[in-house]
Amino acid sequence: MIDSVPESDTVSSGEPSPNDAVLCVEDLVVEFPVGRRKLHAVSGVTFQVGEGETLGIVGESGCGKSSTGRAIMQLPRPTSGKVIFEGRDLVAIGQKDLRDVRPRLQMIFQDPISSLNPRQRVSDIVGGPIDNHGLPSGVSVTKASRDDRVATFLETVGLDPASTMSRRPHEFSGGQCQRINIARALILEPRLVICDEPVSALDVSIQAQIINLLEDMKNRYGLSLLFISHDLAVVKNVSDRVAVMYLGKLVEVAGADEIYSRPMHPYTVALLAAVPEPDPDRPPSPEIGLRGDLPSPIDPPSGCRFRTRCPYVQDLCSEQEPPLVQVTPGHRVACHFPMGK
Amino acid sequence: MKIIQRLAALLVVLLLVSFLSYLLTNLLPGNPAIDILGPSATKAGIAAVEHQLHLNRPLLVRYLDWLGAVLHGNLGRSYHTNQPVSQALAQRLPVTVELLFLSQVISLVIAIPLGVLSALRPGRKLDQMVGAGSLAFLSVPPYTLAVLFVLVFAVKLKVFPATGYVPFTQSPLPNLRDMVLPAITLALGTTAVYVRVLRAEMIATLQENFIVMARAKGLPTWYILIRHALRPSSFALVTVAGLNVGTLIGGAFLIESVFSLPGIGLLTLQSVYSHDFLVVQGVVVVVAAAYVLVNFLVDALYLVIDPRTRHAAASS
Amino acid sequence: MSIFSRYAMDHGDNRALDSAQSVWSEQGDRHHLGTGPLLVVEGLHTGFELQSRTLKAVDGVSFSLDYGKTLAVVGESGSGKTVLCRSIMGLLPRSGVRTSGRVVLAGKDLNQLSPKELHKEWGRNVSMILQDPMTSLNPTVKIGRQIAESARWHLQLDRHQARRRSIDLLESVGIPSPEAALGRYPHQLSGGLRQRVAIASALACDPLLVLADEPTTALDVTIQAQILNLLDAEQAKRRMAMILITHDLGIVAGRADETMVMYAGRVVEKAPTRKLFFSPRMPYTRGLFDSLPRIHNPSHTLLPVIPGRPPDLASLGEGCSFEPRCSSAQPRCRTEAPPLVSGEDPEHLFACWYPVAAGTSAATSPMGAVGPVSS
Ligand SMILES: Nc1ncnc2c1ncn2[C@@H]1O[C@H](COP(=O)(O)OP(=O)(O)O)[C@@H](O)[C@H]1O
Ligand SMILES: Nc1ncnc2c1ncn2[C@@H]1O[C@H](COP(=O)(O)OP(=O)(O)O)[C@@H](O)[C@H]1O
Ligand code: SF4
Ligand code: SF4
Ligand SMILES: [Mg+2]
Ligand SMILES: [Mg+2]
Repeated sequence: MIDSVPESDTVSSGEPSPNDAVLCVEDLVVEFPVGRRKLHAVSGVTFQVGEGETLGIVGESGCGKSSTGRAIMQLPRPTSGKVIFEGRDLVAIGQKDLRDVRPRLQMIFQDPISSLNPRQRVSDIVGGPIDNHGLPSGVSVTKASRDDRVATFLETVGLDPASTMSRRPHEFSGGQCQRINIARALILEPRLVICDEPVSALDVSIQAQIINLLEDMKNRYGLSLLFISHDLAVVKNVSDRVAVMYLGKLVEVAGADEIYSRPMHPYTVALLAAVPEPDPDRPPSPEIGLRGDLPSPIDPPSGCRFRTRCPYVQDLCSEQEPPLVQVTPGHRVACHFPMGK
Repeated sequence: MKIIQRLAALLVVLLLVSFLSYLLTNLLPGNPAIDILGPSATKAGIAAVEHQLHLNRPLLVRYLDWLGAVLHGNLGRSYHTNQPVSQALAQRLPVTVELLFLSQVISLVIAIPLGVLSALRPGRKLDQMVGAGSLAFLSVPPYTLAVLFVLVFAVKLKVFPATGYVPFTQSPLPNLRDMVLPAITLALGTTAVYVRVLRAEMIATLQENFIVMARAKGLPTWYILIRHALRPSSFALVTVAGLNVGTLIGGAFLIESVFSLPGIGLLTLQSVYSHDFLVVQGVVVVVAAAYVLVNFLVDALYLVIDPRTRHAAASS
Repeated sequence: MSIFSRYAMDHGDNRALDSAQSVWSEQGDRHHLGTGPLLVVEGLHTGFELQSRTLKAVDGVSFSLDYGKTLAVVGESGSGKTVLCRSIMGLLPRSGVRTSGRVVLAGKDLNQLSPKELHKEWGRNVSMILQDPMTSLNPTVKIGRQIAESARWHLQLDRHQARRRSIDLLESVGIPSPEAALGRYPHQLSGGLRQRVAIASALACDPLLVLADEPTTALDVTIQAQILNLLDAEQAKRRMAMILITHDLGIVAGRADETMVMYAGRVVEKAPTRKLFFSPRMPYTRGLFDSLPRIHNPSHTLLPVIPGRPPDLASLGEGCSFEPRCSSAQPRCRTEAPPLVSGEDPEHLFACWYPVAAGTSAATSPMGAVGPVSS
């Protein structure tokens, strides 16, 4: 936006300008009816994902990360706001146009096993997008070229095509299923992949494999990623920039290293303090400063939504909502009294 | 909101049921007027009686008349005895209610311990015996059992009287002695169902983490079963008991006729034979009302069993 | 510790002492009894009998835990942590399960006790906290009862005493307005508060030992930190020992005196936590450390990974169970299972024929690579 940082390293901490962003989300709102009231899952979120960039979204469960991801995919359509992808506002276009966009906008989900159809064979799961949309090059599909491509992608995600193609999901472990999901998401060479907690359900020793695989795929296919996770350490490892979400709102957006070394929002500070560090020389902080739990999104607090748990809360915080403003280049914070300022 | 909706739906059901039964009883072959006057009735006599009983008016009109009266609390009078139908019902109802109540108490007293104990060690001896027993009782029709029981316990062994009835208010003990055999007979079928339903749900509950937790607290097994496992395991039981009411009432009618208990069942039978339609119609109203009542009770029981539904209901 | 229980123990109040406890009453507070081992586990085996073979979920685990200390048990899912925990308690069903080995708690061999005697240990001397507070609390029973029932039963508290104790416990674990909370049902509380309630009910009889089976896995990081801090504080206050089971090495640092790593049902490494973190000897432990995403890593850090995946416990081979994934493996590893022994340092045990050299710190150099980087 008002970014004055030299553009030499687009893939570091600078925010992409709306022009060279793959995805622009503007004032996205997602609400769910709950009885006669509304649950405010996402309340006016704005961000961009640059070409070849990984944007991490981090926050406690229930803060609206998945709802944001699904709203971008238009599954279901958001209550209001804009989702601009390839110059078109996906919220405004019809189902038919949306279908044309789908091959280039894909999503990977948290639960690797249940997101695969148990009755389909792996070759049909991974080849499914080709059957639906054809090949990205527009070349007509033959059985051989389809199977070829499926095999290639299975191989790139680290599975042996010969022994996997004709098997069904239940014969695979969680990590292998996630590889299948990744192959399916990538087979049409999308531009943007939304990864919703792609490693959260996996074992520790498998997590690193999948994280590395996603990095590898990203470099190989020049993908942009929206990487959603509740785990700040994972997000920090894979993202160029990190957006911290709290109760349906972004509270801080900055470069990954910047947010780690100079967090400004009290919530980000608390999240960082709560990350367990496997280092006996850094004993766990006895006081993480955060009280209580996430308030209900049906009835969010007035003013700053974090005020019920904020250790630095003042009168102003309940009266006025702090806007998300740029404090230093590429670093946006929504707090009346940002830290280190 | 929900409750009002359900109430409205049930009212509609009640209306439909009463109309259908009115239709059915009136379509039965035979004419009450002939029944009343006897085989030697003259045409004019029959016409007079039909006029007196409004039998010559169109069915729908009669039904609406009847409905209007019912809404004012007037169920009409018996064609035969001229006794008010409500009075006849009030006399007979306690017998049937007592029979139903006793049989359900017996059923639960047997089914709960058996279901719980066989769930405790599924596949073991007790469980197998209970399983075989309940299957046996399920596959024998209660009517057959009733006849068999009368033969064995009343005629051969003479432990219980075969027939007869003394009101509870008059002399409680003989009353119970008269009622025990019919109640047990009626209870057998439902007991078998209850045992199986409870056992299945109980086995699932005993796998729950909160049961592991309760065991890890060192609480005695009986306490865990009663305090922790029984309540979350009784949804299906309550549901089945509610759904079963219709069958159960039907069963009670049969049992009453076998044991000659002067309940609603016997009354219905006699009334149907003699084309005493208004009495039959009254029985239908009472039974349908009972059905509705029981279903409300079941809903209320859900709230008692699971506090989560209670709070969901309160907040919506 | 609640005022009541402290009073009861110090003064040998008969009402509060059941027969199991009277063993300790002469010495006053049973928590200050020992400096020696509270729990000794020797050669513990637990197998599930499948159709054709036995699944060895816990395969020869031995360790001891001193009064008031914390032992962390770390392992991936399926490595046998939960089964170990339930085998220590003796909570597994009898049929279809084969258990052997000794579990001695405060001088009593739990496997030799009659069921009745064992029930007196459960909840009284050893208690448990489970992963998911949503399912480990009974949705149909009020919180007050769930907290107090073990104390009512074991310490024969009357209704009034039990109520007081529940309020003390709820206060102690940080539940706002405890008196009101007694009459609530679990679903009326948030996940974090529910786990606090579960902790309170585990603490109700001031146990000597708490087995916490992934107590924070189902919770958010911010709540996780609160709960772990609470467990720490309660443990110090009550001088109880704890076995902290987790799949997350991160939460172990600074919280456990000793850490034990499990792989495929066996202990593959055990050492004082500092030593394990600074010098893991078994290649699997080393690999686990290296593959952790660290918060201080720069963006796009390629993580060193352990290739492959954990083995199927029902079809384990003869040798080291980590062999198919190990980059240091030699032919011997395939045929002979390495025993859990110490090297130069008698406190540091590991099961490996060709251990990682001592002193190559894992905690400070997150980039030390083991195994191929891509899988
Ligand atoms: N389909 C839905 N209907 C009603 N509420 C929903 C639905 N999906 C999500 N929510 C609610 O929206 C909020 C945000 O959920 P979600 O986006 O899944 O959070 P996260 O992914 O950050 O854990 C939560 O309070 C959740 O309960
Ligand atoms: N009741 C059971 N029957 C058969 N196998 C079981 C049973 N419980 C656990 N297992 C097996 O034992 C192994 C260890 O399980 P568990 O102790 O739950 O692992 P962890 O707690 O480390 O994730 C797993 O392979 C699991 O499938
Ligand atoms: S605006 Fe106030 S309450 Fe909100 S984070 Fe800043 S200081 Fe805390
Ligand atoms: S024994 Fe061999 S295979 Fe096992 S961990 Fe050690 S080196 Fe690796
Ligand atoms: Mg989510
Ligand atoms: Mg486990």
